[in-house]
Amino acid sequence: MKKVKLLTVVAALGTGFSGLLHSCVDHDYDLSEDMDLVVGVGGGQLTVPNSSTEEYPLSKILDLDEGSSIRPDGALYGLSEGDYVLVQGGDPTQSEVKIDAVIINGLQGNSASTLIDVPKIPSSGLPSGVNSLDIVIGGQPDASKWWVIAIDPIVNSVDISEDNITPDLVSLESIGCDINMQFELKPSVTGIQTGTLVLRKDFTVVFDKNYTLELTTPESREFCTVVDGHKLIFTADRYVPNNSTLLLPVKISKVDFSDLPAGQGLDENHCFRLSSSVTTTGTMSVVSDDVSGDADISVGLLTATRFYSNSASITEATGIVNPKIDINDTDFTINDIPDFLAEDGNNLDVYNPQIYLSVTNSSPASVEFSTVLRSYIGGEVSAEVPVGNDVEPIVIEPGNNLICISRTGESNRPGVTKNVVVAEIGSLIASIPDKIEVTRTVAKVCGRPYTFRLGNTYKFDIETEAVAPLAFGPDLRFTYTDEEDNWDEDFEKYNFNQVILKATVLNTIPMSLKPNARLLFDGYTEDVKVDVEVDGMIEAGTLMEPKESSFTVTFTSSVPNLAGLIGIAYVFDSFNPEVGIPLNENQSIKFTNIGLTLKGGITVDLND
Amino acid sequence: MKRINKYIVAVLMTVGASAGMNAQEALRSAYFLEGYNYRHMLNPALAPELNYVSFPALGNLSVGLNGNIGLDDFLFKNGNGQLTTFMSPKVGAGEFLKGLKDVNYMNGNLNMTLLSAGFKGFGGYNTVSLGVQATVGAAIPKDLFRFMKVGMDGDQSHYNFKDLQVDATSIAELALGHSRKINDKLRVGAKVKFLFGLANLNAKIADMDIYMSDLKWEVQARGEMNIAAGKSLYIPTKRESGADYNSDNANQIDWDNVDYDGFNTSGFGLGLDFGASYQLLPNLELSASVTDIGFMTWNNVVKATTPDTKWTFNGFRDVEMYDGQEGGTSLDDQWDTIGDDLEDCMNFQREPGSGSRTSGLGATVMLGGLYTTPFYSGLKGGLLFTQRINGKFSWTEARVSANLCPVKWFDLSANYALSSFGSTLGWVVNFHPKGLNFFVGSDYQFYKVTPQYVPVGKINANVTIGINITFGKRG
Repeated sequence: MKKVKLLTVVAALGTGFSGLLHSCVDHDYDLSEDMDLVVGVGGGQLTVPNSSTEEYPLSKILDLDEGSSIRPDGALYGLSEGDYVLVQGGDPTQSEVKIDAVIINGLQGNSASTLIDVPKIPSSGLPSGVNSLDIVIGGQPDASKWWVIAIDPIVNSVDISEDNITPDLVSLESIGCDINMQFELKPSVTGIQTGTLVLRKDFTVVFDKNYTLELTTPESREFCTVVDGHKLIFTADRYVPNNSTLLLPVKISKVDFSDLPAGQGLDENHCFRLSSSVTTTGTMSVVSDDVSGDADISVGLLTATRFYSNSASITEATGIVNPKIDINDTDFTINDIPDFLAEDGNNLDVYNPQIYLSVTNSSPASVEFSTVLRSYIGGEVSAEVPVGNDVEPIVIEPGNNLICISRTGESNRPGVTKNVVVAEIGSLIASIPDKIEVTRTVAKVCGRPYTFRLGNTYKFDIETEAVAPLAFGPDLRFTYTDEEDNWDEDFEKYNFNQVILKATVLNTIPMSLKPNARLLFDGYTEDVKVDVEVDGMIEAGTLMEPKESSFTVTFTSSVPNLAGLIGIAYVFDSFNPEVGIPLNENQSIKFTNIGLTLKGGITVDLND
Repeated sequence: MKRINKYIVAVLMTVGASAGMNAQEALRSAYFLEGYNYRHMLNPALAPELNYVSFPALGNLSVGLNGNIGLDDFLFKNGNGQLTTFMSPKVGAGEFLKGLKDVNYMNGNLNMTLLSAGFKGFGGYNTVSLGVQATVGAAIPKDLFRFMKVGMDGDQSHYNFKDLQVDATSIAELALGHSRKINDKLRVGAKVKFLFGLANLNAKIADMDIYMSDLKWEVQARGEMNIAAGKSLYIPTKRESGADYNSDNANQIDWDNVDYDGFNTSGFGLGLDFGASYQLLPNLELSASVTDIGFMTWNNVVKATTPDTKWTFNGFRDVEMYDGQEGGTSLDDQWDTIGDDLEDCMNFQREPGSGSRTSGLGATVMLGGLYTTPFYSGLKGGLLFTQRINGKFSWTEARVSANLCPVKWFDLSANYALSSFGSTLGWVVNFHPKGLNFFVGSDYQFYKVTPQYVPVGKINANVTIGINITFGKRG
């Protein structure tokens, strides 16, 4: 009986106890079910105390390679130490200027034979004291002196012509030439047994006054000289055996075209005509020993102009010329520029970019010059700027020229001979190009008279150099972007509500910067994004007057989580520069009072 | 080996209960059950009805948890019917914090009577017990949870944590008790307990300020730690271990090189229990006891304190913008420095030498009244008042019970208590036919459990089970 009671009690208690336990089970707290393990860290707000950075110098922002075309060499260009200058030289181009020598094939002289009737010699012969019978060519007759016979001057002609003159010669004022000829004098006398003729001192042969003559043999210069360039005047009596020819070899070294009669000279058909006369005057004597009384004498004189060859050359021309000047294209490559300076859509508005043309013009002529500067980005033409034109050409003077083509007319290299203002030149480097080409260059000699040695080769060498101090104009616009895209974390488990970044910036870089940021997602799509709002900006400052300003960037997450987050892009839109103040390697930005606030904390999903 | 030993120390220190130990625990629900052999643990005057010898290790085995927080303070519904933690953004700070107390604590304990015997003799009843107990407790101020949940509350926030504490103790106890009847109405008893310390860890942050604003973060903590685990425990400083150190952290404990190479006792204590019962009326018995009057001295105590320096983070200063920038410091280096500084500020620095630490056991006062119903002598109503006196870990309880003894070999009790831990139900069933005593009961019966039988509400739960062999005559 006792055993039955005990079992009954135990059974009742066991049943009651298990029933009690079962009824107390709260299935709302079933720990075997999946639990939402998303946790928030930081709660309402977490603010990192204000922080600061060291200065971030421009030299590190630009991070230029050693071979970059942008260098802190401002001191070499009249700027401050450390000022950045884009400097890039191009390959030199060499051109030649030449007017070929002109060969004159139309050379023609003539002869004139003059026979002088001499009155019968009185039987008494020549009066006492007179020892020659004189023929005065071009003289006045004197009845009182029968032994002096005057005749008209003797005239010969010289014709020079060529119908195929190079069109490089447009008009001529004079030419230098090498026309060799001789003037022949062949006196003769009859009626005497032996005869010696004397061409008296001051015997004169006058060529056209536009000619410049040279006696070409020493012998002739012993008794003759050139006066006024075109007159051959005997400086001493010259004995000429009867029927012998006295040669006066001369060279026409120059012809002056300025006073030529109409129809002569160089015409528009590139034909060349010179017609002139040679007038001989002076006294020719038959010496007295040969003149006997009652002699019946006649005297002749043959004069002739005769060229040595059928052709002669014009060696020099003074006048308006138009030789062909072919100038090859040249270019220079801009090396190792930071990417952000070369991005499409930039407008660097460089304050005063300069293209230097160093031209060596060995010709005697000033040259009118025009060209086209063309910039390329990625093989495509990004800008094209004409420099010089027919109306306002760039004039390159003979000798060494250093021409600065610039936006403002100010140059930064010493020794500039000419400043040329081209307001549009800035468009070439609105975004830093890969290269700048100097093309479609046209050069011609100015329309003024110059003296050219024909056949001579003149050099026309051009070296180009771009010099652009990195100072900006008011229309500056470019974007600096720096990306950190190597966050090697899986952020799928993380999210945030709002992150507020505040900072004060001390800026000595002479441009305003609008900061922005962008979270980078792998496989970014429009519906997966983090909103970014920016308030404030970094105001432009200078080394002398640093500027302090503040900005706030607010990130608001609307994504379910940060899956695919691989980094962040920092973006600075540059604008509103301190006009004309160059970038300098010592300029910097320094962030202070950097406040980072997490509003709503960080959400971490600890679920598997 | 060192690492393994370190874990052994950790296990020794964390197996068990309470900030401030109390002696071997017995079921308060069974305080009024005469057939319960271990009433003498609660009141040494209350002698068992029979001689007994405990089943080795199972004479009185108790496992329990106490705390003023529970699972439902930390797990919430997220709106989709799914459970989520208090740190979920879907759980409002107010919703979470309203369930917490200013100081939130939780104790765990394990009491195991290895061997116990009781017998009549020497004019009374005598008990001998050998047992071990391990306790672990933690007290966490509400502000710590507020800090975790809220972070900065506005532009500046200040948090002050007091009495953030962890305590773990493991001791062995040899108890000798005797009770005797003074007259027909009065019975008294006493017990002397010899305590052998196995391991003790007490770490506390007495005061900690955290100030956060957009200008600075400041942390200042005043903490102390005492560790006792015998001579075999070697806790070196960084200077002693050969680790990298500087003048600021030379005395900092190098946890990576802690070594434990053999078991030793690490302390000794002595405790006394006194009790009495008095039959005031034929159907009313009063009883009273004071237990655990004594001390515990821990030897070879390694004492360490925080340096009481203020850690200040004023933000990152002059972060270098490129490698090797003159005058700048990299963000990584600054992170490392900040971390090192915080570690230096918070890490314990060992005090020179080792000493002893003596503390009171924390006394327990119990007052009981048992009323036998006039209509059925097997039904008795009991009222037990308990006051645990142990500083921050003191607690108070009043327990009213219905005790039923329908037959000689079986009794049971159902009771209800109001205490510092909240209200709870207790129960015990006790079989004590001749030759055997088996009981199972709980002072803290949870109302709701998860399907995995984890209490949902305040985590007050314990269960005690025991098997003993009885002999002799009742009475």
